[in-house]
Amino acid sequence: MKLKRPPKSQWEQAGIVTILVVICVVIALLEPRFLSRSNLLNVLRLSAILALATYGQAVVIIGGGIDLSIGSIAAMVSVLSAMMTSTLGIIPGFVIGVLVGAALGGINGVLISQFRVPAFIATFGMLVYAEGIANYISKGAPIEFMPEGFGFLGSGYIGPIPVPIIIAVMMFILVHLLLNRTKLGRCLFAIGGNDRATWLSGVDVGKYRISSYVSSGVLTGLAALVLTSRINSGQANIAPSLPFDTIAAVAIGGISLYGGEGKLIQAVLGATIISVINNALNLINVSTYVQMMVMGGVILIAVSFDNLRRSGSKKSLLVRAGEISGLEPPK
Amino acid sequence: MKGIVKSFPGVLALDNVDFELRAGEVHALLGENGAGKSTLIKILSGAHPRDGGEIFLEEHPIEIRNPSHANSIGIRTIYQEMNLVPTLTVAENIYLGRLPRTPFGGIVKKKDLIHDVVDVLNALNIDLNPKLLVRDLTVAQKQIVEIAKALSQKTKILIMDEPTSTLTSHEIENLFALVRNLKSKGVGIIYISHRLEEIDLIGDRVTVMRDGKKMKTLFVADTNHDELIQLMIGRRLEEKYPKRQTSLGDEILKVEHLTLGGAFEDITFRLHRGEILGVMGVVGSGTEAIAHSIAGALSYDSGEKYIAGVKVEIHSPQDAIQNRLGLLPEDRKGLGLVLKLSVKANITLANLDAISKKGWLNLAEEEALSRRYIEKLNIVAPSSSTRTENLSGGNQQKVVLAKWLCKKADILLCIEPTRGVDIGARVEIYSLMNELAREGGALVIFSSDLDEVLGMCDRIIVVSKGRLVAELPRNEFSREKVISYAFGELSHASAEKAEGNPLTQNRAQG
Repeated sequence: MKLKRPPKSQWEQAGIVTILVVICVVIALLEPRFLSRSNLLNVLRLSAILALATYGQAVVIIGGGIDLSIGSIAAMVSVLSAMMTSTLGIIPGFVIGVLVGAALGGINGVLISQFRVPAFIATFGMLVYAEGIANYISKGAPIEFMPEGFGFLGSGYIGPIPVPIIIAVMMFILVHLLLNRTKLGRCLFAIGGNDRATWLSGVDVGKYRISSYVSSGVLTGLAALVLTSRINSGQANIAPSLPFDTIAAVAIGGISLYGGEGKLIQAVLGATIISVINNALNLINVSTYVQMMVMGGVILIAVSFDNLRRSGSKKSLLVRAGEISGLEPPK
Repeated sequence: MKGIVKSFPGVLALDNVDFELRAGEVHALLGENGAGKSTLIKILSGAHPRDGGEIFLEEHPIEIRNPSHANSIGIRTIYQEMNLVPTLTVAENIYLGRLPRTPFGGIVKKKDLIHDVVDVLNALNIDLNPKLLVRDLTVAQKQIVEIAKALSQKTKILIMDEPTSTLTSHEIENLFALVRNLKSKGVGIIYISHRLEEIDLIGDRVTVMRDGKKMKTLFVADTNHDELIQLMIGRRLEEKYPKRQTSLGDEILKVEHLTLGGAFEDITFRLHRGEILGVMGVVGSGTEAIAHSIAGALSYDSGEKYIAGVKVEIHSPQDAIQNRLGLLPEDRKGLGLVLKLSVKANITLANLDAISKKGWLNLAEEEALSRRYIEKLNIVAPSSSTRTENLSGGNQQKVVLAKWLCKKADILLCIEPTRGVDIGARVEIYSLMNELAREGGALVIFSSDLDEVLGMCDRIIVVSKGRLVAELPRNEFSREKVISYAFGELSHASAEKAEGNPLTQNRAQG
């Protein structure tokens, strides 16, 4: 007899919101500056940037993959868009940035789906490779002296609202629709849930898998553009911890790292929690090393809880492991 | 076990159930999927806590805390879902957790291990190389390893959950010999099966459950199938294999000389509209591989496929679907369904184009389309948004079937279509197959369940060791013939031997 589950995700989400509120209250008590208008705006801006990249990570993870390369994709986008802006102007620079993200994501996708490289290895390779290129073309130095208006994406306002937040909200709606209202999204949930069954149902698993990494590349590209614009310079080491921050955000938000399930709002909540903790650590002025320890600990705890929470999913992994011999793996 | 109560959110899984097992008896547990058999077993084996009632072992009340505690007091369970480590050897799996080790350093003594395991296997009369990796075994062999693992330790109560669902009749005989052997040693055995014939053969008493309640406990000798089925489903089952009128139409599928080295060779057959063809072979004979190859899920070395007389290239499931050919795979959880997705998402998965425009899904249309099939196939689910993992086996299989009906497949290749499906749902699935054939489709049933093939098909092809060895039209069907062909024993003498075999004989009567 199968047991019926209560609607778990809803109170899980409520739980995450509660955790977020508790963290904020504790921080506010420890450090009143946390609640200042400028700091709150700053936190929101950082959350927005992290959320953008986390959307991409979430899309990939829901599709049963993982993207470790996004730190380097961000580096490439940052360096190239800054260089192109200096020569071609702001808008072409930004467009090229997003295209670079898409292209690198596409390479990840092709490696994984056509050459059957495990996602972990392929994107880890891309992480090292793209970081190398980004440093090579920027000669390891920041690209500065950006033209007037370059900072709009990162530091501008539309009315009272910072531009990064507007971009994050717009992309949230877009990606949410993509996941829940399109064939691509449906197929990603199916592939993440059971790629073999999906393949046997005639779905072009390879195409959708590539699409998920392209989406991740584009969203990471956007995040990188906003960040580059905010610091007003193109840098290869713009976001070295981005892969881990986004995976942590996904796990903290409660999206299964096994794939096949999850809601985008969970990615937003996870990204916000991480940004708030980061900001608090900066405010109370602890050393970078302590910050690393705290963030690392949070990530490990979040991922461990994800596994505990989903002990049920292990069964499906076992079923997958017990695949019949002779059946071709899905492309 | 006395007055056992267990509820899950929304369901009362066990309602005041009493169950008694004597030493040295085989007590069969019978019921449809969802009747509460598995829950009862899980409570006894410590996998679920109970909400009420008491358990006595040898007249002492006991608390079974968890599965390892159950193990330590001699209660062993062989589950349908196997708990073996694919990358370890047979021997290592059998002794997992208690491998013989050197006193210092804890290095596994491989020689001792192999020696012990050979003893265990010999005692059970099992012919299996203990050094093989479990990954490389057939499903039936894995099951045997599972049993050997359970029996290599001191056992008072052995729980077998559908142990024969993947075994051939030869292997079933071996298993039964083993069960009788254990019985004579005073082990109490709880035997869960959907196959009434087996209960006749091996059971001493039978307890029938329905909707979480115990219906009755009977001596097997004092009852008959009709009574058991009636207790089980609450009504009389008119016809296990619903009748239909066959009217053969044009040829719809032709397979010629299909060959995959090491798996099957020179497979040639035709299929007509309105026909249900059976492909019968023992486990490991290559029938599954043949089905997968035809459906483009497995590559092949040579051969041709024709659909409606036209040569086609089918090298992927996508190609197959374009030719309106669907595959109902043998492992519905691993290959047939995306368990985390809803019922409706699974039903429409192969036919997303019908509910989308330019890549955008029309959710209302999806609901309407899937609702049609949920009603047509009588899929029992709280709603169309329920995750398929929460459905019973029979309803899950109906969802897989609905997926292909929704895609309007003309040709359906069904591998073990009713494995692990209870009798009620089984008859419904058969009726749906008949309906598809009547509407001009065609089906091929790849099954190791002889009754199913004999009951459902218009024609049977027998495959042995990857080769097509016989083709029998309906008027030549006989259990003995099919069995002797399937085991590659073509002589008349061996056919007689098959008749003398208690298992087949009994089934012929039942």
